[in-house]
Amino acid sequence: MTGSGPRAGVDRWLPVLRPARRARRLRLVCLPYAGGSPDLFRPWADQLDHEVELLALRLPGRGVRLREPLYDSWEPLVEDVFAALVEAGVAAEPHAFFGHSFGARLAYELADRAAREFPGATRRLFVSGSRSPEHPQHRPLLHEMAPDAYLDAVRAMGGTPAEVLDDPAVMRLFLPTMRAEMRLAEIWSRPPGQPRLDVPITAMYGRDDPVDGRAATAGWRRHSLRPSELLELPGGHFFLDTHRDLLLATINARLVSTA
Amino acid sequence: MSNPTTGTDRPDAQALQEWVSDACRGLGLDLPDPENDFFESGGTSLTAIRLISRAEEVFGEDALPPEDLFAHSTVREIAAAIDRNTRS
Repeated sequence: MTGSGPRAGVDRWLPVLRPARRARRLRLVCLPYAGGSPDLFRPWADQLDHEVELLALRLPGRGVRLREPLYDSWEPLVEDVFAALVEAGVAAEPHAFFGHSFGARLAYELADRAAREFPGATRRLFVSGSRSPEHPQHRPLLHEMAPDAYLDAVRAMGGTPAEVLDDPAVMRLFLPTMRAEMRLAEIWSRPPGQPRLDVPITAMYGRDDPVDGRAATAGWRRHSLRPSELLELPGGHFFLDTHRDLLLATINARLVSTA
Repeated sequence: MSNPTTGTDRPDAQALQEWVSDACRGLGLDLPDPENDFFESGGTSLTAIRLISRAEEVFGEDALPPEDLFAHSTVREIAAAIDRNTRS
């Protein structure tokens, strides 16, 4: 991982965090939680299977895209991210998606789209810390809360260090992005009777997640035509940060068997 | 890259870049080269806040506004932001 240099459009959307070290078997596209940056997945570089290329999505509102307008509806979001995947040459070649929370919902939408346009290219869908499409959203809705109550709710969820939450200048930058994406996560719904994806699904939840725990995530298995699974991991909503080693071992085992 | 400094007492661009590299090392991040990127090198929002307060201690209030660091994060860009924001 060397310096940045001039950044192409593809790099802006989908930075490669780690190339495959030998012949590339597939690409893993990581989709962060609301307000999260692709850098969240940089620590995965050391542990992810060496034959897998690691990429992550950078949406507007963070990093070099800090000042770009945020998405406020799903359709253009999915449209634009999918176009970026096509442009990067990712959509047509073997790949898997990993998404957490808001990112898991987006991963499902992208896998659905890819299944129609590039059948068979998506080898596995990892959905982590997210309700299944038909499961009702937990109430009260965070994105409708007044600013102070919203900040308290974000603090209670964990995942954001207190030092960051207590820094008004930094939170002023992060909050609009976080809130816009939490809103999208909360309003996300799919009419019942969706066709099942021809993609194996691995759904994961944190044992102590009060919102997106077992009950909210159990329905994911019904969204695939292929053998799928529901896994419980230790930790709360942010088990992907607190139990990274176990999560990576889980992901690697499935990517190796997904040749 | 021309030297962006103008005053006589100001550290030149290279010295500022070295300060940024040193400050990052103090945070446990290795960015020896001006083109190294803070977030690509393991920087997080937490270490970013610490770098911002370190810059304020040394160069004064608002020396490194978060919107500059989060959007432009190579050593060269961070040094240029400090230079720009502390020019009187």
